[in-house]
Amino acid sequence: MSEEKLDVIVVGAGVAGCSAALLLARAGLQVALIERGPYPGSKNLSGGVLYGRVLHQIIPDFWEQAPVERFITNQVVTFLTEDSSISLDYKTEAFSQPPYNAFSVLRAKFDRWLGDQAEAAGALLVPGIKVDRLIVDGEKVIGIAAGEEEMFADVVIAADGANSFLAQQAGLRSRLPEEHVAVGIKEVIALPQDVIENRFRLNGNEGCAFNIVGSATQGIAGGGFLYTNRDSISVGLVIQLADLIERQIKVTEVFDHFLQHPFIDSLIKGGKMMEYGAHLVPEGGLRMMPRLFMDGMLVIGDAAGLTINNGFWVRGMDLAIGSAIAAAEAVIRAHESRDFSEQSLALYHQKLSESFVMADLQTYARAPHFMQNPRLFNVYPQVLRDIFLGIYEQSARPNQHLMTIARRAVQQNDLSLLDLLKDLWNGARAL
Amino acid sequence: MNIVVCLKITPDPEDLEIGPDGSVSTTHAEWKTGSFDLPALEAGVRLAEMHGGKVIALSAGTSQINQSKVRKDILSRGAEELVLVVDDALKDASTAETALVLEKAIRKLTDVQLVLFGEGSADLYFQQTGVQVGERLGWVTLNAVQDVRLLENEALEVQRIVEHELQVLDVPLPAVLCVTSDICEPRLASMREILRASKKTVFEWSLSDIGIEGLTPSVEIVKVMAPPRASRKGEMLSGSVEEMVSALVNNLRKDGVL
Amino acid sequence: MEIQRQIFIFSEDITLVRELIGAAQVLAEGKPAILSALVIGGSTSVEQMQNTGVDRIYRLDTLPPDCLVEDIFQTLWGITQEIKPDYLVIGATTAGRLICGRLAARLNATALTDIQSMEFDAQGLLIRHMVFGGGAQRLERPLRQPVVMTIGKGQFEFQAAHSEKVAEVIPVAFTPPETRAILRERRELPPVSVNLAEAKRVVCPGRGIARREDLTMVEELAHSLGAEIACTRPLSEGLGWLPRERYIGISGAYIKADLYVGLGVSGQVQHTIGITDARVVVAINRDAEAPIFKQADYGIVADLYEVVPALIDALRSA
Repeated sequence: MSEEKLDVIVVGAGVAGCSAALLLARAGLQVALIERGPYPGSKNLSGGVLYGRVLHQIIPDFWEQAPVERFITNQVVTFLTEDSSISLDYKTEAFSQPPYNAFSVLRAKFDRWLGDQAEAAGALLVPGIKVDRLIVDGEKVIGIAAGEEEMFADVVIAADGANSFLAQQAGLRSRLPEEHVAVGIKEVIALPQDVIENRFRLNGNEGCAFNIVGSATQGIAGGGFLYTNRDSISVGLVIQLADLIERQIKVTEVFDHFLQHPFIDSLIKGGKMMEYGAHLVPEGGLRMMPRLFMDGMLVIGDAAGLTINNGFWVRGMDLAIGSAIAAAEAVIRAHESRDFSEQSLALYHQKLSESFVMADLQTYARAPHFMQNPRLFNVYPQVLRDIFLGIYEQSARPNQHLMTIARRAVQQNDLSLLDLLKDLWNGARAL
Repeated sequence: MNIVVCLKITPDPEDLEIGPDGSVSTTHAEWKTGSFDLPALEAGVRLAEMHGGKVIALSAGTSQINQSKVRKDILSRGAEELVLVVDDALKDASTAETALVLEKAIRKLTDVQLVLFGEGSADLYFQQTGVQVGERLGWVTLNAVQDVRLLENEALEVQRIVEHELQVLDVPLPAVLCVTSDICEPRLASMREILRASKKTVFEWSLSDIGIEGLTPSVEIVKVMAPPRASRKGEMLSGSVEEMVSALVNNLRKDGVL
Repeated sequence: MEIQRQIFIFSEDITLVRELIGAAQVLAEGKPAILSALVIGGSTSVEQMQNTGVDRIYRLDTLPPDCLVEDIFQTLWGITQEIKPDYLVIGATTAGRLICGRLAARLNATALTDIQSMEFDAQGLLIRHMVFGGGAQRLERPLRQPVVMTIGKGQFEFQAAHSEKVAEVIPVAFTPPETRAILRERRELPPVSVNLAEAKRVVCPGRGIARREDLTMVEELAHSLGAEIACTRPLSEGLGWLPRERYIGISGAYIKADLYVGLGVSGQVQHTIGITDARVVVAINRDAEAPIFKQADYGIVADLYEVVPALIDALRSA
């Protein structure tokens, strides 16, 4: 049923897919961008903060036209216990002018815009079509099929997300093991712009990003986030699926508990819930990365497991764009030499390794494991809480030295010195 | 033979937002081709497929209708060309103004023998524009059409359901038909059709392109508000199924409806 | 001397004509007006129109046998050219809508359809009608003259202000249309199985009903309640499980029943607009967020497959 063969088929119009399609179209290739939702972004969800420099490379000054929410100038790491919060609050002018650093985004709006850019560059957007399977000839991927319809191309780029069905079908990865997958759950809560700017002490379109660890997740491996958008707040949790299943707790329970914590509640008070969603997040990092290429096919974005959470920040979108850039280069070269074999497409992996994408994944290779250390959510927040309580409380009894307070806090929380040292060591290596 | 199918692109009524003060807003609504218009498009496309000819989709409105997603959607459903009359003077246009615009646009096209409309627009559902266009063109015009066939002698055989009567009529061409949603099921766009859509032609005309220098409005929209609603008790029953059912029966007895 | 308003009314449905007279009375605004009506029919129809406040009855005996109601247009047009009405009020039937549109186009007039109510302010006439599939109501002012409007059943009441006035009856001849569709066949459709507008109690299944076979359970409940069975649009137009005349909603039936019981009905505006006049609304749906609960007097959040049998039992044993 094929009429013309296309040069490239990109499956999935998320950040990776749209970026790849954009770059390939710009290079004059015939590229179809297939999306199962009615429009790009309709099925996507991120916290979400986009670290923008890499996008600025391919769409200079994108913030001038893209529907970004706020540019982040205030990054906060917060440890929560049931009754306390301890935050490391970094605010800087360094991030308050172009090219900025990071932006809060709402994916339905943002991806849609990115899809429009790809289309404007000449990519053929095909919305509302769900790709069922790859078409393979021997060992080579030659196209895709949706229902009875088939479409052929020299290269298929799988940008179909965390649970990439295409990567599985191609044998590049097996089904995601539960310990490498997290569930992200979030709400978008509407608050008037001036309330946000007052409450978070923001000037104009500045924005704030919180990364939250501790009792937020009732002891389950994971963390919370809270980002300020233009006139709403994105607040949510990313929780390890395996842990959730093991403890037989419903994710909605954990989420409600989180939202009711006084620290969170004070930030979202008076707001109105507008949207609610959940999405899978690959969390394995380098250890979990599938094979990324084969004859006639490449895997990019979340489908390639390209996310990093190091406790201070969470990244996925910028890595997706980085992988799209590397993939586009490889495909353009392959197109020029008419060689779409695995050897030729290995250029993708090479470019990826030369870029910040692989480098960062290497740097934080131990982060996933470290971030799953139960002491991170159960013990350390409590220890910090006890330390600061000891420092600040004036109980009309004699004060103690900091060291004493610290030692007492450690003991009170059954933290052995050995574990503490191990964790410090591992933390230093992982982060 | 060219078949023109007129479509109205409007904010999706499902996306309507009602404020606490009863105000109504479509600011965040997705703009889509009206659900009653899609069966008309499908009917036109099937006629063209069976008897030869080309379907030209036609729509008029403000710049809001000129969205890539909408254009692609219409062109992936079998229309060969799309004509959009785009002018912000069409904001809040009612049926009289729209009928004038569509009439002029149709006259600018060549070899048009049949014009199809859906039973009403998705947002207003006044069920008038198609009939008014037909009268303006001076062609035989019918509404409530449930089936259309092309006869050999270049006339149409049309079925209509009018209150409690089924009518079978011979309709001479050229004609304007307003068809019901029952006429046929709109097709699901295939990948191939969606791809082909990007290669099809879209004509964008302004009002002056079709010889209209100014539009006089036929209505003034004074207010749009949430419809008056009966205030209901809103009593949510609780307990086991048996308990709730029992409570319900008691309440209904007390209210005198059982 | 004040120029009198000219109001012209027409419907092929004689019962609707009385309601149009009611609307015309509103349009007259209590000031002197000349009300003319075109009636198709014999002396009985004319009799019914006497002493109602109509000043002139233009009477056409019958339409030629192979003619549609719509073919009356040329005849009607001739009359309106003579009278030059300020308001043309047409009954909102299928033919009526067609006639309204043709008149509006020829006169370059404002067309206002399915009017729910009318009022006047300092600047003139204002009307209300539904938009957005029942999601909102619009208040509009016609800016052109004349004004052509359609009015459906049940919106206006004829005010029996008994008039001494004897209407002048003017016979008219049928003017054949210039071009027309030729009627080849006409068939009375089988009479509707139900008149929901008159039903005292209504049971309404919605999308929550999983299979067509489950309608037996719904029938049983309807039987225990002495209720008619209605449905939401998807069950009739979409799935074809129930005939068209049974669906309640914007382009379907409007009920005035004492009791409405929704089973697995989500409560979209396009449906609930048809139940606003029901006295008591009961909603059963397992989704606590379903919009229907905001429009119900009694709500049960539970699986209808459990509630319905329990309800049948409770009614039986009571």
